[in-house]
Order: sequence, then C-alpha cells, then structure tokens
Amino acid sequence: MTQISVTRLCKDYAAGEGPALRNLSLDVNSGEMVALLGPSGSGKTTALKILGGLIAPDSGQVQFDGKPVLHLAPDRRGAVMVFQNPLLFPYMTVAENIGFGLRMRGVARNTIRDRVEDMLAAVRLPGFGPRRPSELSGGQAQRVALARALILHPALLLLDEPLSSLDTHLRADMQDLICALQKETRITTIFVTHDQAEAVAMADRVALLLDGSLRQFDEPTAFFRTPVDIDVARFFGATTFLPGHVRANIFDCALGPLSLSHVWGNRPATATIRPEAIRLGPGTANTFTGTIRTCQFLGTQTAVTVDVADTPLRLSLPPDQAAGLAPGQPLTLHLPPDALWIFP
Amino acid sequence: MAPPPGLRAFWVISGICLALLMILPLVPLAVWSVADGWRFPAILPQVWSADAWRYTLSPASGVLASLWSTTLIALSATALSALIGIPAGRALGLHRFRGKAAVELVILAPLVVPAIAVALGLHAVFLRLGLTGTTIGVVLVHLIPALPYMTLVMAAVFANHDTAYEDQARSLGAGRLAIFRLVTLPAVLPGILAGAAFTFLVSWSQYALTLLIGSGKVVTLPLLLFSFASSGRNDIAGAIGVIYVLPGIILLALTLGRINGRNVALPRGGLT
Repeated sequence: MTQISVTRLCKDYAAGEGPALRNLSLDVNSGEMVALLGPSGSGKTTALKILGGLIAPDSGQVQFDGKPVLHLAPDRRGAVMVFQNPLLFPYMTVAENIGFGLRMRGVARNTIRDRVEDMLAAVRLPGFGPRRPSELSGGQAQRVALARALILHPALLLLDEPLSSLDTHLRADMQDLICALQKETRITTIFVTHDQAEAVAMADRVALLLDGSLRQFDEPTAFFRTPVDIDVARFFGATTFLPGHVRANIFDCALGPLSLSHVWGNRPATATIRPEAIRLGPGTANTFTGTIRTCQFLGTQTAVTVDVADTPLRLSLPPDQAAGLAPGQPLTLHLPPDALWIFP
Repeated sequence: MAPPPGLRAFWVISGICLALLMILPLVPLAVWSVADGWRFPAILPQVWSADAWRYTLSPASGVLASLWSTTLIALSATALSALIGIPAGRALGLHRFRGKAAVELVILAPLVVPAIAVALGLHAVFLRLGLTGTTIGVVLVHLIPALPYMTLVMAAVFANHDTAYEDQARSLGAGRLAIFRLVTLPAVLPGILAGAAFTFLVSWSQYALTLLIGSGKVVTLPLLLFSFASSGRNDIAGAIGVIYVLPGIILLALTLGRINGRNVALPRGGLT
C-alpha cells in the first residue's frame, strides 16, 4: 500500500544507443497495478530497474509515499523485483529460495519456515519446499520466484516480463494468479511487458513507452477509444489513418465528407477507426461500397482489406461474417460516427 | 554416435602412449629410491635397500621440513592468487572496458616473458625491501607465474556467468558479502578449484625463482631434489622425487572427476 511518484526520470546508456529514458513522469496510486508497455528497447526495463534500485538514473526523482528513495538500497526502499527468468538459486531448495529475503533480514528460522509454507500454499505449490529448482517446470519456477518476492510484503512489487518465458496455456493461469494475489495483498505493482493484450488484461492502468518517452498513461480502454497519437494507435493495432480536414462534426478526406459524433473545431487532422469497429452493410451515415483486395483468416478473426476510392480500409471481422468473402467482390460497409477518432 | 572402428583403435593406442609417456619416467624414480646398487645392464637393482627412505624421512635430511615449507609457500601463493585472480578474472570476463586488451597482455606477460628475467629485476627491489631469503619473498615471486593461471581460469568462468542472479539477490535484500557467499561463490567454485590446482602446482614446481629470491635460505623440495640429484645420490633423489610428484597425482585424481565443463558458473538464461 504505497503511492509511487516518478518525476522527470532520465537515463542515458553508452553513446550511440540513444537515451534509454527521457523525462519519465508517472504517478502510481497505492495498491494499483500498472503495466509499463512498450516494444523492446523502449526503456521500460530501465525504468523498472531504477525503481528497484538496481541502476541509478542520470536525473529525476522517485518517491514512495512522498519520501525520496533513490539513495536507498533495494531492500531499504522496499522494492522487490521479479525477473523474466525465474532466477531461482540453483544451490538452494525451493523453500530456501522463498525464504532467502527473510533470511537476509535476519528473521528467525522457525518464522521463515512457517511463512514459506503459507507462501507455497498461496502460489498453489504446497509440499514443494524440499525440491530443487531443477526439478520444477517453467511455470512452477516462475511461481516460486513470485512467492520469493511476495513473502517480503514489498512496498512495491516490480515484475519484468514475468510471463514471457512461459507457454501460452500457462500464461493465462499465471496472469490470473498474479492478479488474484495482487488484489488480495493490495501491493502496489508495476509490471513490464511488450504484449499489449497482457497489459490490457492485467493492469488497472497502462503506461505506454515508445523510444524512451511516455506517450500515454491511461486506463486500458482509452488506448482503443482515445489514443493520443498515431504511434499509440498503431501500437494497439489500428491500421487505418485518414489524412484530411475537420470542420465541426464533418471530416473531409479522400473518402468524401465523414460524419462525426463530436464537434472537433476547424483544422487539418488525421482520423482513425479501429479495424473491428467498421461494420458491414449500409448504416445511417458514412456508408461506402468498395472492392475487397485481400482476405486473411486469422483464427478468431478474419482480416479484410477493402479499397474504397483508392483508400485501403482494414476490417477485422468475426469469421461467420467473413464467410464467403473473396478478393475482387464488392462490399458495402459503414464507419459508425462514434467509432471515428480524430487525433487531438 | 559411435566412432568408426579405425578411429576407436587410434584413440585407444594414443591413450596408452600418452599414459606411458607420463607414467614411465616416474618408474625409475620409485625403483631408485629402494635400490642400493643398480648398474648397467641390469634391468632391476642388484641390491634392494630401504636406507634412502630411512634417511629421507629422518630430520637430518631436512626433507620433511622442506616438504612443509614447500606446501606452505604453495598454499600461500594459491590463496593470494585467488584473492587477486577472482576479482581480476571477474572484471575481465564480465566487462568490456577501455584498455582491456592491454590489461590482458600484462596478465599474460609472465607466461610469455621468462619469469627469471622479471625475477632478476625483482631481486634488486626485494633486496632493498629485505624480502630476499624470506618465505614471504618467495611466495610473492611465485605469484608471477601462478597468478595468470588463476586469472585466466576465472575470466573464462565469469565470461559465462549471469549476473542477473546477483541482481535478484540484491533486490531481495542481500548485501555484497551475502551475494558473494550464497550466490556467486557456489556458482564459480568449480572454477576456483581448477584455478587453485593450477596455481598450487605452478608454485610447487618453481626452481629458479625460489633459488634466486630465496637466496638458498628458503629450501623447497625441488631445490633439495636438485642438490641430491647433482651430487649423484640417485637413491635419495628418487625418494624425494616420489614425494615430489604426489601432490600432482592427488590433485589430478581429485579434480579430474569434477572439472567436466558442466556445473561451472550460472549459465545465462537460467538452469531451469
């Protein structure tokens, strides 16, 4: 239950690699779960390591509950990190691994044993204490790594891509477990991921980092409905960007005038619509007929590209709606006004 | 995949040749040590005797005292090599830094430049410091040939060492000492043992450096062995020789099974 405040954090690595972090400012509420999302090289792991006290920033400040912590060692500030690999100490048993942090704090042996048992039960590995790390599966090892951090009741729990080393089917289980334990303990948690689906599924709020800068810090739905710029929208899967001019609630572009649901002023602008928001058939407004260029079956969805007045529109359709569509066919569709978003 | 029969035969034959090459020269040592008269063309000694052994093990010969000081010097040189070589090897193995190639060259230099050349210069310095003729001086001069082995072995070990485990321990609240003792040391211990075996044997086999810096006052086994051998006492030289080769054989037997390339360092990407 700690409020985290990050102010204008900067970190440069060796010359030529570009700054790893540029003026990162972030306020995380007590008990909140925040995802630091970004492609590799976006500075998200650097930010996490600075919070965890493993590297020092060039400038900026980090406060836990209003107190500056950058000068404090990791355990003094109460930030514990769980890495991408479980990193279980191979020369210790599972129980010794989980009890490691308490042992470093000089907690009595009996107390450690009891709390390790509780922790093993919490991560659904009862009776695994005497085992060696080499005897665990990847998912089990990652749960032990989580238990090893949680047993310390940290002020801030930092997870660095904790799920990326796991198979897909284990990942959902681990997501649920992390979320359940986080809700139960209310430990302020920041996790790093490059997977937007994972960020959206687990986090209360998502911080999107691109090229070392924070682009948008918002609730998950905002990245789909109200992205702040084209890069953010693109990262979250938007593919249609229409340059044009907005006049009140009309957007002039290559498709013709589009009706909008809001009044946006009068200026040149770019509009976007998510591939899953485009509807088939005629609508009350913004109805067009185009020619199907490509159809790609993607399992749960079918990606369809339609050329309307030489402008390609990308659609993502449920497979039943896409059945029977083929390249070369004409297709009528409409862009619902409330799904069109004009970048501010 | 099984090797073709011809290749297997080649392996077996070359293995036997290698073993003979290493063991055969030691046999006359052992025979000499129990011979009283052994002249050409006899294959075995005409007269057997335990006199040489009786003399060698008596205080009068000074062999036992010399054995003790040789062991002490070799152990001290090994400990000092570890103290310097482990951090140096870590720096060389883990980090890229300006002038690393130069540092590596300086560390390797004693293996390229004859140590005796360096020791001649050091002798003048040690004279002024009052270190000639002392055990400490001999230990220090043994570091010249011994340290590169420890450093290079540790550099190789640390090149394959994942420091993420240390970050993890630090994040869990471990201090520097606890991290080394509980996380790093268990990972690099096989490497340290291998490096220690090398440095121990390198120190153990020094002759010229010991003679030069020890000024004849620090008498290690090879000095004693040489003086008996050059004075024609083949029987006593044989007995000392047998004692002298023992640590090498013992260390070889102890380490052969353990140093197999696996279980060295915490590999990147984790064990699980």
